Amino acid sequence: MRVILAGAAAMVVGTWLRLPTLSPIIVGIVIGLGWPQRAARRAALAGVVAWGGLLLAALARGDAVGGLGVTLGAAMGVPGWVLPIVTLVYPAVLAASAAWLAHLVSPFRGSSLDAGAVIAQVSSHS
Amino acid sequence: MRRTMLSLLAAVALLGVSWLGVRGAGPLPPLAPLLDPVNGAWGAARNDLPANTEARIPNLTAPVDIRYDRRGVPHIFAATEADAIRALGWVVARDRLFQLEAQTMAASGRLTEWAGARALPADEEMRRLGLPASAEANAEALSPGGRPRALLDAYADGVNAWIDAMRPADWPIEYRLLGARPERWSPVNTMYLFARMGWTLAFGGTERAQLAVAGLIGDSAAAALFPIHTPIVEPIQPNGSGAPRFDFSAIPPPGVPDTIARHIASLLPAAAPDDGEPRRSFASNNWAVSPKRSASGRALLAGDPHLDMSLPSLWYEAHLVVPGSLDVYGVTIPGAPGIIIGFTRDVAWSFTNTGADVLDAYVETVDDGENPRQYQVDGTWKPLRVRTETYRGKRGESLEVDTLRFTHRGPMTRAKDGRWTSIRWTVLAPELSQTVFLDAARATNAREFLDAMAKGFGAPAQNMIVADRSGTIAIRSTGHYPIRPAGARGYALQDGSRSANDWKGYWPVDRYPQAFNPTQGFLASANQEPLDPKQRPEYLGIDADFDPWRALHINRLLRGDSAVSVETMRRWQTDPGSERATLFVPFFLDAAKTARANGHATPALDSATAWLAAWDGRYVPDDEHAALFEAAMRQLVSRTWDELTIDGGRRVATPSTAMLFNLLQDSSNAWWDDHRTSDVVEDRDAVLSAALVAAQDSLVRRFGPRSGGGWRWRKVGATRIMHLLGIPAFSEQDVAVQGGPSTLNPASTGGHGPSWRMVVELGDSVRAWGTYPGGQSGNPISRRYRDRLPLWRTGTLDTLFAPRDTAALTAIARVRLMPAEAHSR
Repeated sequence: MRVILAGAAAMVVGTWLRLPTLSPIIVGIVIGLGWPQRAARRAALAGVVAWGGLLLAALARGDAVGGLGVTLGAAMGVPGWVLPIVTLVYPAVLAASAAWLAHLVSPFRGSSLDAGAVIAQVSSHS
Repeated sequence: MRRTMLSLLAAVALLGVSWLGVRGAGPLPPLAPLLDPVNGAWGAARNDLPANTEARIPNLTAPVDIRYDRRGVPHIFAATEADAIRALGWVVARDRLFQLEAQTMAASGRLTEWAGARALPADEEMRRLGLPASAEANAEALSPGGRPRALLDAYADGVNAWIDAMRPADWPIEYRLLGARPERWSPVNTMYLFARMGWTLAFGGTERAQLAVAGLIGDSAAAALFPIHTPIVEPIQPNGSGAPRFDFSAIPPPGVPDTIARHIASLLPAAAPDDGEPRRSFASNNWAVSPKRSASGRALLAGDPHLDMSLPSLWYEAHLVVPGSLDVYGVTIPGAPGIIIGFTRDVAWSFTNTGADVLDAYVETVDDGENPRQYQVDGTWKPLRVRTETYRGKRGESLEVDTLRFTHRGPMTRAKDGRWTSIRWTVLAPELSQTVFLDAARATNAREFLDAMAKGFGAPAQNMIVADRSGTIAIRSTGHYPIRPAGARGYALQDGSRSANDWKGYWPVDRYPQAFNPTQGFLASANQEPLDPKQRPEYLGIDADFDPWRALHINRLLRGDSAVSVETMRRWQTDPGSERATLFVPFFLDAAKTARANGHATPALDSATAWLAAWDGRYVPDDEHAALFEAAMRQLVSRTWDELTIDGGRRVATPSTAMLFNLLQDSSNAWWDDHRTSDVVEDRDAVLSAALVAAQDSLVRRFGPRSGGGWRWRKVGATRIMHLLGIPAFSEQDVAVQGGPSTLNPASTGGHGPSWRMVVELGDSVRAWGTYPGGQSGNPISRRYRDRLPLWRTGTLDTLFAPRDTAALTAIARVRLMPAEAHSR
C-alpha cells in the first residue's frame, strides 16, 4: 500500500510539473525495478489513485468535473463517463506497462527482498 | 511463453499510449494535454470568475479596476483611454481567447493550420480577395506614434498579458481538441477582423447574379427581374408619404440567352451560393421614436443586428469608464478596440447593413496571360504588385503556394478562360479608423455622433440610427459609396484598360441617405432601399440587395402607436407578424378559389387551402400553419423561376420576393409557365395552386401528417446556434423561436438572426435593456456560456446596468490590473 501511495504522490508531483506522460512511466519503472512482485498492478493502482485523486480534488473545489466529462465526451462522440475513465486508465496503462518491463530486469526479481526491505535494512543499520 | 507475450503487450502498450499521449492519432488530439487533471482540459471545469484577483499588464499607466456584475459583464474603470482598451483586451481574452484566434485564423486565411487541406477553399477565398493583404497594408500604414496604432497596441497588450500569464489549465478546451496552442495577439489581427466583417456584410454578388441571369434569359429580362430600385418603397430616409408605395412594372418574358454575359459572369468572383428564398440572411433592424410619440416623453431606440449566430456569440458585453472622458456601455466584437453598438449617458445607437454595391470588377489587359507582370491602363503598362501566399498545414508544412497580383484597384484573379479580372472594393481600402467608435462614444448629441462616424467609417456601409437625451432621433447610411464615371453601371463588368472607368471618389456626407427628427416622429431601417427612387434615383445597389418586408412591418407598427413604450419596443423585436405573409397568402387562397370555380379543385388542394386560410399570419412557436405557407413559398419560387436554373436544377440567382410579388400582379405573364411541362401553359393561379399542394405533400413527407404535431413552428422553424468549430455538444440546436422569414425576428432561417437586441430610453438618465444568444464566457463548460439563451429565445431583455463608479456596483468578481513594471519593482 505504501508503494502505491508513494507512487501516486510522485505522479501527482510529476503531473504538477507538466510531465503527465513521463511521470507515470518513471514511477512505473521505479516500482518495477524496486518492487518487482505485483509491480504492474501496484503501478496501475498508483496511476488511478494519482489522477483519480486529482479529479476528486477538483470536484471538492467545486469544479464542474461532471459537466465537463459529459460535454467533452459528447464533443468527442462518447458517453459522459468515458472521459473520466480514460483519464484514470491513461496513467495506469503507462505505469503498469513500464513497471512490467522494468520488473524483468529488476535486481530483486526472484528474491524475497525488495527495495523497501533494503531501504528499511539500511536505515536500521544507520 | 506467457511472459513473453505479456512483455510484448506491455511494450506495445507503453509505446502506443505514449505516442497517443504526446502526438495523438488521426482526428484524435494528443491525449496527455487533454486528460491531464492539473494542466489539461479538466482545467476548463474550474470556476471561471474568481472573486478577487490581480493581474499585470505591460504599459499600463495606472491601476485599472474591473468589476464583473451578476451577468458577467466587466465594468472597466481606467485612468486613460488606452488603459481602458488594454483592460478590454484582457477581459475579452480571458473570456473569449479561442474565439479571438479562430476569427483571426479565418480572416487571415490560415484555417489550414488548424484543419489541414480541407480548409484550403475557405483560406483561398480570403487571400485571393486580398483581405489579409489589405489588412496588413492598412496596419503598416498606421503611423507608429498615432492614436489608432496606440489603441491597437494597447489592445494587444491586454490580450497578450492574459496569454502570457495563462497556465496550461486555462487554455480554452478547443485548443486541446485541435491539438493547437494559443498564439500571441498581434495588432494586425484587429485589422483582419474588420476586413472579415467587410466581407461578411459588403461582398455582394450583384454583378455576377445579373450577368448569370442575362446569360440565361437575355439582358432585358434580367434587368427587369433585378432592377436597380425595389418595387416596394418605404425608404430609410422618409419620403413623407406616410405609407408604403408599390411601383409595379411589367416584367418581360424570358428572352434569348446572352452568351457573352454568361461568359463574363464566369469571370467574376463568386459570392455565397444562391440558396433560394428568403435570400437575405444578414438582415438587421433598428428604429427610434421621438419623445412626441413615446409614452415616457423620452427618445427611444431599439436595435438588433442580424448576423451569424454562434457559440460563443459574436458579441461581448462591456462597460468602459474613463472619468471625465469616456463612459460607454454596449457590445464589442472580440478583437475590436471599442464598443461597436451601445449607449452613453447622452446617445444610443445601433446599425443595420446597407447592402450597397461597393464592389466593382474590371477586365484587365495583361502582358502575359500565364504569368502577368504588367497591366495596361490608357495604353501604358504598369507593374503589378505581387505577393506570395503560402498555405501551411497543421505542422507548419507548406500545402500550397499562390501568387497574388494587384492592380491599383485591387487583387486580380484569373478566370477559366484565361482572362484576368481585378476588383475595387471599399472594404480593401484603409477607410476605417480604429478610433472611430471611441470618438463617436464621446459625442454629446446625435449629430455629433453621426459626424464622428462619418469621419472615420468607410466600410461596410451601415444605416446608423441614433437617439440622444435631448430627444433628437436621426439616421444616416454611413460609409463610402463610390462615385462612378457617368454612364457606368455599378453592376456591370468594367474595362480595366481605361482609367476613365475608375471610381472618381466617394459620395460627400451630405449626399448620404439621412434624416434628422422627421415629422413622422420615428425612423426605421431594416435593410430596405435607403432612398425613394422618385426623389433620389441614385444607384446604391439593386433591388435584390434590399429587403422591404421587415421595414414595412416595423413602419406599420410605429405608425399605429403614438405612445410607444419600452415594453412595446421590446415586444416588437420578436413580433410574429409578417407583411410578406399578409400580402402573399390571399393570392394562394384566391388561386384555390379560381381552381374550384374552374372545376380543378382536388381534395389535396381543398385541404391545403383550408389549412392556410385558418392561419392568422403569426409565426408563434405553437402555430401549425406557418410551415405550410413557408413550404408553399419555396415551391412558388422554384416553380416561377425555373427558367433561371442550370445543371441539375441549380438556380443561378433568385429575384427578390418583392419582384415575385410584382409578378403576382400579372396573372398571365409568361414567367408563370413552367417550362418543365411541355404540354400545358400554366398561369399564375395554376402555379400557386400547384405550389400549395406540393408544399403540403413535402411537409407530410418530411414531418408526417399535420395531426401528429410535427408541423408546429417550434419544430419546423427552430433555429440552431452552432459552436465555432461546429461541435454539436458545444452548440444549441432546435431552438424554438417566435418569428419566421421576413418577420422582425427572422431567426428561424437557420443560424442567422438577431445577434444582439437592445432597447434604450434616453432622458435625464439613460435606461437600457439587452441580451444576445449566448453568454459572456467562451468556455462551453461555464454556466455563463449560454446562460442568456432562454431570455433571448423568448424575446426577454435583461436590464443593462451602467454605474458611473465602482461604488454603485455590487460585483460578483473583481480584478485589479496593475502596471507590469510596478510588480517587477
